Amino acid sequence: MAVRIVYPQEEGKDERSQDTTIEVGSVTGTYQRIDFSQIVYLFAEMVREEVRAMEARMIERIDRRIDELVERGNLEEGEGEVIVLRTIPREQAKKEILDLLDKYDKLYYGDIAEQLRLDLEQVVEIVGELEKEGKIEEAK
Amino acid sequence: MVTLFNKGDGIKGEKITVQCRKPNFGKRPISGTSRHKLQRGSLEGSVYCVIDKPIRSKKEN
Repeated sequence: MAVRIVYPQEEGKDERSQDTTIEVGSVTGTYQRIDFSQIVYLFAEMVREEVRAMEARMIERIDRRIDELVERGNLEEGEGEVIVLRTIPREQAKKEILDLLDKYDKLYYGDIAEQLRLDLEQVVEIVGELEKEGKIEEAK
Repeated sequence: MVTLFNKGDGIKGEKITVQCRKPNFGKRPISGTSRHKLQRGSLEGSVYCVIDKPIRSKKEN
């Protein structure tokens, strides 16, 4: 994909006038004019893809390092499993915690964080809110 | 819920769940009081600890 900025060629006008347009296309092919919101969307998509690729590369490196440590005897088999924490909206986290508690008699903060792959501190805060809302209670 | 930040603050409980970048626990047991063996170590890097408790759903009657 190529991006080019087309400035108006009129004499006496400042090059960066309101008529400046941005076009997207292939380097050797035709170009299509796009507006600013499309640029923002495309840029966001590019950043998202890059972040996903970086995350995958990091996890791969960590996995390889863990395998090395297991081979050298520094870690036991099964230890050091990589848990990728999820970042989800608070309301979704609340719902998932309530759904999880419906399946089990009782769970500890750590169990909830482990099962749902959420940050421990976030779990504690949300459980506190759910207790105040009267939806959950401490199990004896 | 209270979170303690000051150096020297301690927390005590039967079960404490932790999250951190670098746990350091030695494999040597330490003989504590009443002949119970203890382990000692440290946690470093964005450490968060909580005194854990069991929770359950509140069933509506």
